[in-house]
Amino acid sequence: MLSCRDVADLTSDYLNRDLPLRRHLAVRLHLLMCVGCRRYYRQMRTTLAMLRQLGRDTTGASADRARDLFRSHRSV
Amino acid sequence: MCYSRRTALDCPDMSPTVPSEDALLDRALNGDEDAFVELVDLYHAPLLRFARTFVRQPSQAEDVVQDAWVGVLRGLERFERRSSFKTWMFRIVANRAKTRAVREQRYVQFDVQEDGADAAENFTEDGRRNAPPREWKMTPERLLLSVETRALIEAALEQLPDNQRVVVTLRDLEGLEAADVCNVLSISETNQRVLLHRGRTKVRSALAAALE
Repeated sequence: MLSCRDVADLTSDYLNRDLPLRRHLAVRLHLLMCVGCRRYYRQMRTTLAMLRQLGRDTTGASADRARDLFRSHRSV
Repeated sequence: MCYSRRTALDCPDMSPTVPSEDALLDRALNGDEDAFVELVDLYHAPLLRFARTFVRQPSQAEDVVQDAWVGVLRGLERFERRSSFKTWMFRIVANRAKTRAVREQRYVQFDVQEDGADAAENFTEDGRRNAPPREWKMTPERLLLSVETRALIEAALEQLPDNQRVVVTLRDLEGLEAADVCNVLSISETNQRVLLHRGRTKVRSALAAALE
């Protein structure tokens, strides 16, 4: 039986779906029974969603600068 | 002969063309300016953010990324297709940024040391929680939509130790796989895992401090 501390240590891998099946199920079982860990897991999941969103929000570079770079350095 | 019921699989030339990055690179190297602009547009900003984790001055990070693009254009860097274009490009920037960071005597250490990331969670001796984490004042939906929380997550990321920030940036913001992150940074799988775990844990704690 996993302790809350074990589950906290495994949460990141659990979110990545990186755990062997038996471990994955053990974490899941613990989350079903433990309110504190469930809340912690949900907050980690939200954190991860926010980080991913930050990655998607990054805007591109200006096309003009890319064109200048290309024209001055293109291999011939 | 193509019929109206055919699928993209039956008739590959009719499928919507999303030029792969490899193909864009080939075109750019053959003198296609638009292909190059498209690649830069896709990756310049993420590469810049990544370079900034090694060299803090924005102008120097900009130099590093620009040099990387120039290296690609001049054929100084050869893409051997052993990884995705994206991973390859991050690796070039990592190597160049590391060289520059060493010159500035600012070196990112990827060894894993105890840093007490998890102790803050307060467990009893037998590993149980002393108390459940407090609820956050905003729902995940609102957190993801709100402009203010974007600043919050950026600040939390900024406060991470360099090595954790680099790994979280590559895995969670850029969506690289674990193996690719190990390749880009030349670190072991174990270190990658530990740095990612600690980084995410700290970002959650920073959010909790603002949202409880």
